[in-house]
Amino acid sequence: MGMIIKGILAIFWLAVVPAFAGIPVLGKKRNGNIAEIMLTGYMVLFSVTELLTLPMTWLKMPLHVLTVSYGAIALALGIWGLFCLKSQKPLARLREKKFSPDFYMALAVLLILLQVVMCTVLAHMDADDYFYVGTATTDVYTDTIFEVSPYTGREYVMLPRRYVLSPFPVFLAVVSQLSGGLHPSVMAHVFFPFVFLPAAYMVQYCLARKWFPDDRKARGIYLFLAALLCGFSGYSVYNAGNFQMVRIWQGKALLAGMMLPLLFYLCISVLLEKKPSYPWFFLVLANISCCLLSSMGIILAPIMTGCFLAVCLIWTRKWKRVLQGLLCCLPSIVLGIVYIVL
Amino acid sequence: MKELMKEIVGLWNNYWGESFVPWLLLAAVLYLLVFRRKRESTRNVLLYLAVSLLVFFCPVTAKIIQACIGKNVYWRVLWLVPTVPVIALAMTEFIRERRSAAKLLALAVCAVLIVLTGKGIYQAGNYRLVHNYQQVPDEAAGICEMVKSDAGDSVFILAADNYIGPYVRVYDPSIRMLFNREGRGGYGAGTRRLYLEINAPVLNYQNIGAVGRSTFCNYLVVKIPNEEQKKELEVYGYQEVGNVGRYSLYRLGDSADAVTNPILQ
Repeated sequence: MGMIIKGILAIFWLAVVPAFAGIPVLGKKRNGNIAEIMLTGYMVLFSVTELLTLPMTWLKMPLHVLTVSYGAIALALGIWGLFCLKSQKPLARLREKKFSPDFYMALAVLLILLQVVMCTVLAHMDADDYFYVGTATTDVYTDTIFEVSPYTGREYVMLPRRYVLSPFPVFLAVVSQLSGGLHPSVMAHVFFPFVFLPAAYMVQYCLARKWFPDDRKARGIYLFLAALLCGFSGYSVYNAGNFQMVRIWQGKALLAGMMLPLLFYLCISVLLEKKPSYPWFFLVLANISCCLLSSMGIILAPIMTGCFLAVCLIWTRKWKRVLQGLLCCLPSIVLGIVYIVL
Repeated sequence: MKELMKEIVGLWNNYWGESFVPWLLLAAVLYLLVFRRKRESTRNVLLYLAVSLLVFFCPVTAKIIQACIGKNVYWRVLWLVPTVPVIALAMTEFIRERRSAAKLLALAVCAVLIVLTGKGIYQAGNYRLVHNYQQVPDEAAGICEMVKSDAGDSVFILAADNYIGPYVRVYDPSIRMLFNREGRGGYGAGTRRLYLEINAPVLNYQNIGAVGRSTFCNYLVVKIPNEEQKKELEVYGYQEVGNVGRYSLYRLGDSADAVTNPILQ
């Protein structure tokens, strides 16, 4: 299959399907902006991947079974979203909206586009790829899930406990297979930055909308400054901005650049607002998504939620809300215990 | 306790490098505290910031988290600190209430501040142009293509240094390796020794050849600076297949299946 067809398929599975899959889950907030819808879609699909991959890894099932299962569920969610969209008459709504270009937003979008082009066209050499991308290429080649070591190509003597609970490389393998067998390394180094870098800025846009709901110019300014801060985060190899900019295809980088800021946004929206703007299960989805991305996410997501619960307790003194917040961390806590005990 | 605190402060310093970004963060916090303290956004963000910093610096929580995630990656807890949102929020608050021309000027000043306090990602040497879709070093891609065309359908095993090794199976997972980066995946004293020899600061080609042969390594990827060193490898049965950039590919025997590593049986 030609590279262009594979590329179109990659965009379909990484951008179009999440965009539609997010619609039914957003429910009453269906009038939300495209950023909210897409981010919800990613959370749903990441959670689906985590919940499918863990049992299939333990049962030593072949990769193609996971690929078919994930593809079917993602497609079903996407079609459901399409029907929801149809009933909402979005085109009519779009026609009602007046398009007025904003200089600051245009500036921000231009800067983000420049960054996307840089990350997609140029290559960053990261030796950690030998595990993260290597696992995906190995799983695709052997049609297995975490059975063959990406280091040498020999069978694992025992499961890699640090990584098996966070199978983001398997997600890479699955979407590569769904994209007409696109090489996982091309998917990781070209298409993941193309899709996930804008997704990271969608989170910043959501924060901007929260903090400046009636000021479009301020939202543009905020987004421009956030993009500039990330673009100038080359001062150390440890900071989140650096991870986001140079290796967003690795789960830990996506955690630092997109999922933790998204969890930050959701915690503010769900725990600290008088009337939560999202239902509680969004926090559960975010926590499970963090678990998929990195073993660090299994620990860091509940810590962040815990910090917000402390803030919530200080401001609102609503114990019920704190209890609900704790329940949202349950998936992470369970996986965290497994991670430590294993 | 004192030791742990010292360690934590060291991690904090490493996280920021030599940049002035933590000072920018402090300035942003002070601006929000002084001029925007009544806003709900300020209240929420700053209190969370304080709690997350407390979690990072508090020796008790540090000890617990370190026990969970490991000491050497404890710095990742700093990912919980919302640096970008806090600085961008404060700067936007500072800019937004100005009139159009002053607004542009204020934005320019803030942008210059960010540029001066940080370091450009591109400027830090993170990116380069390569000539393969997989975006691995061209030398690694070239070596993979060469070994596959030389070996044909034979099953073989390859060893390479820490520069080429990590990308071999990223580019082509059908290639089996004796060990990978930092010697991972390798078993036995011979394999360990070959890893150390092939990554030594000064290469000893006699040692590489000898250990390569004793571990039944079909292909070796090494940097060969001159003809004399090629002969040293040839003494042990390694034949040059070709060169890609600074690296040469050597095969043990006349064909890829001249010797069979026990791992492959």
